[in-house]
Amino acid sequence: MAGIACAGELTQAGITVTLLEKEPVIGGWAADYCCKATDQCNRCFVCVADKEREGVRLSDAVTLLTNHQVREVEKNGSGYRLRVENKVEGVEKEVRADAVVLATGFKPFDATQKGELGYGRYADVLTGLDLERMLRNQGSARKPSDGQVPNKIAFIQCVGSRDESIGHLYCSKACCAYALRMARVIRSQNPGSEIFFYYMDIQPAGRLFDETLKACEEDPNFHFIRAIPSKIYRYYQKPGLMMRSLEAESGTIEEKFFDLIVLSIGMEPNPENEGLWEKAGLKPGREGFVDPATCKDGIFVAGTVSGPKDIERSIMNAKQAALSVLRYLEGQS
Amino acid sequence: MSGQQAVLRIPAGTSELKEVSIQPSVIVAGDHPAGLLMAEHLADLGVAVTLMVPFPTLEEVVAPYRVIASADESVAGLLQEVAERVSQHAGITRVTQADLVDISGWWGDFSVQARIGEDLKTFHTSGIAMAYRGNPVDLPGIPVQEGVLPFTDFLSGINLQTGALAGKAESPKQVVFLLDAGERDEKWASVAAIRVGVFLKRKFGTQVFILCRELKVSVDEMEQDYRAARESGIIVFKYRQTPRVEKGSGGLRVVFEDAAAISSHGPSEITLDALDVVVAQERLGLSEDRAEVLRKLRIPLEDGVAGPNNPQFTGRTPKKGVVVAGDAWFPEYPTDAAMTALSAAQELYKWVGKGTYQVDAYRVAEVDPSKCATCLTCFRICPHDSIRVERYGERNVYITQGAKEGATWEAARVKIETCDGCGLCASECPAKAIQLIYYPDMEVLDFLAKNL
Ligand SMILES: Cc1cc2nc3c(=O)[nH]c(=O)nc-3n(C[C@H](O)[C@H](O)[C@H](O)COP(=O)(O)OP(=O)(O)OC[C@H]3O[C@@H](n4cnc5c(N)ncnc54)[C@H](O)[C@@H]3O)c2cc1C
Ligand code: SF4
Ligand code: SF4
Ligand code: SF4
Ligand code: SF4
Repeated sequence: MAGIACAGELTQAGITVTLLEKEPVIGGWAADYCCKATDQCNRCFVCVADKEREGVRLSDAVTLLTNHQVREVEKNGSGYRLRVENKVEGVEKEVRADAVVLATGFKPFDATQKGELGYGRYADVLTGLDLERMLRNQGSARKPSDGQVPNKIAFIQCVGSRDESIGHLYCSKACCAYALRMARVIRSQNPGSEIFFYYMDIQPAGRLFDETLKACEEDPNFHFIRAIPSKIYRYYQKPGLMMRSLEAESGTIEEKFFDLIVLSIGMEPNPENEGLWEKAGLKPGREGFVDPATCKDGIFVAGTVSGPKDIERSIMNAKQAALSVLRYLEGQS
Repeated sequence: MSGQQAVLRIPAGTSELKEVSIQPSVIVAGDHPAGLLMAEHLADLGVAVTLMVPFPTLEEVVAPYRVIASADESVAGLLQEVAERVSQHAGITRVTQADLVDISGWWGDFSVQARIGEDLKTFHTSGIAMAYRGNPVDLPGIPVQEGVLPFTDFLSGINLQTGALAGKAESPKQVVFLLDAGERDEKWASVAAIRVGVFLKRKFGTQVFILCRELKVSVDEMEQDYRAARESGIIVFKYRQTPRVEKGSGGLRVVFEDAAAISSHGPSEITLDALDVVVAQERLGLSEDRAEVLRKLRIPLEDGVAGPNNPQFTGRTPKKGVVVAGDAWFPEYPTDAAMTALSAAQELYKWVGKGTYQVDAYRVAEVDPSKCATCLTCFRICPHDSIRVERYGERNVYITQGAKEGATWEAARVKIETCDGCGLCASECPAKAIQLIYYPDMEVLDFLAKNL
């Protein structure tokens, strides 16, 4: 997604761009997300990502190579040599460029690592990514176990983020906002539904977020609970899932039944690409993502490869990267 | 990854590129350091930059951020020597003690009035960046009293050598940062409080308390810095309702309910007494004259923040060729503000940087003069100031009003260089005289008929 935005900017400045994408389609994770409008746009930026993607797909100025995975980036004279694998034909080729922008993104946190939350064990425990896909492709939230519309839904925030036990001592920045926005969609589609939002702190998401947060707070069927649930399990033969948490407000250990539980997973560095950065001379920062300060000599980063960002900030970061590329090329000539 | 979707295709051959020449020049105005970064980047790319700052020197633009730079290496990396570099840059014309007071014209051809000292002077430019600091508007819920300082006054008033605040001889023994009382969707103050707090504690031994509603950690490396701050002895509380700030014994007193306390363990009210200073996060807004300049350009303002409430306008305004940065876009922590500003600089460079610009005549609106009733609706609403009323070469049969004496016909005409293809005029025109040729109505209807 950030790669696309950067390519779009550069072609508009007259630069010849090759876009390398390992998957059959471009767009990264955001291509799977849903529009989070209720009776009004909730400013989730997904359609902006869709639009950028469409623009690049239709542009003649970008050479689009899908199914091409970058294996190695190496300095070669004043430019770069990239070793690229065509994943369909299984052959390798070489691509040369004056400058390289790495926009290889993130990996969504694997929720099965938090075994106590029952992901993968219980069908009605979803990740935020599963819910995004469900809303994009099916249009409404359903319980995977029986296809019914869920009425009591819990969101658990910070799954895989802000968590020392798994070595992720950072906030993923996008999950508070996407979870609240999807919860709004569920509330507007099913007026009888009730949302229980388990969180540590709500992270503001820029200048267009306040209204969504206020709408959630004013909704009587929307409950904010400052707690991190400790366990999700089945209770004898009863339907639904039981969730246990220590709630600060009441000071007691509460157990509640839910129809559907959504784990708001965060982002982590994509381990697949670690060799790629190292070879290119980039180093990880304190959070394990690429440290942008180590970019030099015509290599740049855009988007979440340098740390969690939402779509808006990934695009802004991509535009910033485009400006840096242009400035670098200007200095070279 | 997702399923197949219907896509409206642009018909083949419907593209007509016209080259418009444009001077690569911009004016960067304002008192936010983001403006210096924008000026430097654009000048390095060969754009003729005129930088207008309201102070006698560029250092004053950066000065209030020096305390954050002392506390945070990445901010230091951004701001270190930027004022020096910009003051020596051959590609930048510097105009000091200048404030931009009026803008007219359009992308590629703006006329800008600036007040320089007592004089008014006019400049011509292709693009404009406004990088403004916010001014404290109010401290919501906190009565103004001695010892209570808005955050930005604290930042600009502190002496980095002695830790003393403006008008004082010594550094305060304790500082309370009171956050989120009014503004919850801004995180700059939370991040600055934690990082500056650690700096004060280490350098001057200040006891630092941070009171917030939510702990805002969605800035790079913030979670780790927060842990480090707690380990270094900074005390962080989350409150339920806005704390009471009142006169206490030998200083200020702050009383609040601790949100983290388990309520079954008894009352959770906490009192901090005999405090020297309470630094409160204010609401920031633009000064009235700056807001007026933006309003005149039809750039929407909400809560003092410029730019439309529409995700499609990421980093830009509806006025082509004008961008806003710094607190005028949204109050942000300096590293975030730098990203936003440089993305806006790229937005400007794209329009004005290359000397020429290609316009696709099929991506702009077109008026059918034979239908136009010269009602001036489109003229009034076009956010890009791209519509003029002009004479056409054939009779306008619908002419009702606005005809000048002797003119037998006139109609609206779109200035294609500046039209953004937004379609507002087409949807508002009562005579249905405007179409976007890119997606003509017939094709959209055809598409809908086939796909629904
Ligand atoms: C569950 C979830 C929901 C979210 N919802 C929202 C939302 O509603 N709104 C919002 O603003 N943000 C949301 N976000 C954040 C959003 O996903 C990111 O901001 C955005 O996807 C970042 O884009 P990117 O380009 O940096 O990374 P990616 O989306 O990961 O894109 C990276 C691209 O690089 C390709 N690639 C990787 N390695 C290679 C290689 N070696 N060779 C070739 N190609 C390679 C990948 O295939 C991919 O296409 C959400 C995040 C999550 C986890
Ligand atoms: S920003 Fe999000 S909610 Fe708004 S229209 Fe676009 S996809 Fe829908
Ligand atoms: S954005 Fe919210 S849910 Fe995501 S890691 Fe940060 S605090 Fe947790
Ligand atoms: S809105 Fe329509 S009728 Fe009115 S001036 Fe514009 S083109 Fe003419
Ligand atoms: S489409 Fe119409 S309203 Fe929009 S910029 Fe062009 S002339 Fe102005």
